[in-house]
Amino acid sequence: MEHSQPLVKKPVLKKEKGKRRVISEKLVPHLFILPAMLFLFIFVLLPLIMSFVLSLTDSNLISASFNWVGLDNYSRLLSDPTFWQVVKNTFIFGFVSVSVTVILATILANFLDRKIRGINFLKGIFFLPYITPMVAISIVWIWMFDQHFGLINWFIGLFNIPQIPWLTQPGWAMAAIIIMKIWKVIGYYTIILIAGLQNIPDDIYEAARIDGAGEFKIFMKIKLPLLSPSLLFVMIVAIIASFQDFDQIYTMTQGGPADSTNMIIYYLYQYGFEFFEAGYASSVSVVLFITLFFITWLQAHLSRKWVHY
Amino acid sequence: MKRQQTAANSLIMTLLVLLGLSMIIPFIWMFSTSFKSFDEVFSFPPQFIPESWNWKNFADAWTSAPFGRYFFNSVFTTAVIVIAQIITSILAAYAFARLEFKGKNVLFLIVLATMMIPIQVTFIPNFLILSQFGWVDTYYALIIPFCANAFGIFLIRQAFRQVPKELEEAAKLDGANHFQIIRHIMVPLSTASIVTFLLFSIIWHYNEFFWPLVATNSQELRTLQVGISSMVASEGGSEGTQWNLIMAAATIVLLPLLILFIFMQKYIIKGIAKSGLK
Repeated sequence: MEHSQPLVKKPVLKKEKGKRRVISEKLVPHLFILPAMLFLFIFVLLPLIMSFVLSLTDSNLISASFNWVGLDNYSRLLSDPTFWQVVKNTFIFGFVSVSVTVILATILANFLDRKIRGINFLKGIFFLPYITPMVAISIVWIWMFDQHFGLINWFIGLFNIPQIPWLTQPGWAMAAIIIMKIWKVIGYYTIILIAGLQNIPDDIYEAARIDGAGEFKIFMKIKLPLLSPSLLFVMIVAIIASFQDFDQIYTMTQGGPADSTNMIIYYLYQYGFEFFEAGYASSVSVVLFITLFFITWLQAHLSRKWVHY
Repeated sequence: MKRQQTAANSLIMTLLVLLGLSMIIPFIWMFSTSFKSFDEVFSFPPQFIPESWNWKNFADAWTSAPFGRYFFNSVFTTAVIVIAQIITSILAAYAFARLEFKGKNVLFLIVLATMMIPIQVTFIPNFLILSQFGWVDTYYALIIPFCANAFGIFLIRQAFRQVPKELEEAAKLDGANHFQIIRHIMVPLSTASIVTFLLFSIIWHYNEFFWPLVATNSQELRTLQVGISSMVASEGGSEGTQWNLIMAAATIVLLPLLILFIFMQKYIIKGIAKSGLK
């Protein structure tokens, strides 16, 4: 008992001191995440919630007053033939550009995944378009697609193909932006697929070769199935990215001619920032968000079902 | 067998080199046009090598619009954004990777969830938020919304988690505080990821077009991308357009990224292969 007195006292003192420390120490992690969370909350999460709310109003970008209009924006959206044209264009653009890109990137990755001198330099060349600013390089492509003096019509003219009115005729305009888009992004997907190929252990190929499988058979029967997780990832990322195309359309076609290359983000831009109809444009935002959310969910679902690991 | 393989390899290599050449034709064509005289631009069939090298085109393009100002705006906003992102990401990544606190998992899930929100969806509300602050058409509008990046937090957190716990324990025993641990242990051992994120952030924000286009309207605040876009718009249609000057301007806009890419290619490509950065 005699000894216990100081023994008890000391811990009490320590506790007092420790308590303060514990409180501030407890706050430290929150202080560390605070700046990042604050910005993400105010400029990403809050805007998402606001989009849902705004889509139920007739608010415009200029004045602060607004009225609640219920689902009017959505019914207007669904009955706008231009919107359906935009949806169609977005899907055609996404489907064609993504499927061609993924097929070509797979073949390219297969060729680039080998140890030859200079191969890294080549990878760099294929990848280069991806990092260049879309606006500046789109301008270069407008010049290349020029009907009378453009490089592309000159080149196909060598094979006696008549001049094509790229960018000025509906079907060709879509073809032109798809071609350019493929050129711009193919290197990026190729790099991801090369990484996927390099994850396949070499001894599987060895075993197949001993069994007498040729290069083509190895590609079809081994590489493709084992690459399927990367392929699915690449497809989903590419679809989501293609739905968000704006810079290229703004620069090259402005959605024209006759809305033939008008796509969802460009439509959103027009209503939001050209006509200042913030409420209506927000309903477009919500539709876009839900669509992309669904595609992402589908990816998670599919990767469990289809992909060979 | 060996000889067959080398023959196949050289065939593939030839094919790849041809393909690679066609990939850089737009760059070559841009470069070549930027040196031509106005008359030569419309000569047909097109010439890849200009008759005379008109260096003056670059000076003319540069002075045809306040490109110096555009250049400053692009570099300044990109630099501030990237520095802010690196700081906020490192702090948050450290907490998520190394500290225990209430709600950690939920908060991290929220960070991951923000990556799924298409950025364009935020633009109209952000415009309204910034106009509440009176920040539309200011540098604040160009910078503030991008001061944190979920991908940066995610990527750097992954790197911090790889750092051996023992190093941190040892530093703590020596009396190091959190900032010293971050500065002397976490960051030095995660440079690859941090540099990758830094490079991508530079590329994203230097190339950004939609937001600067709508968040500013005075000429003094235009970035290079908005500036060159308006230069083309004011030059009008295709015939009679001064393509040589426009291509010179495009070259000026592209050059900083080309230089960055030449020196940092390894980091950029490795970063993509590892994390699928978009």
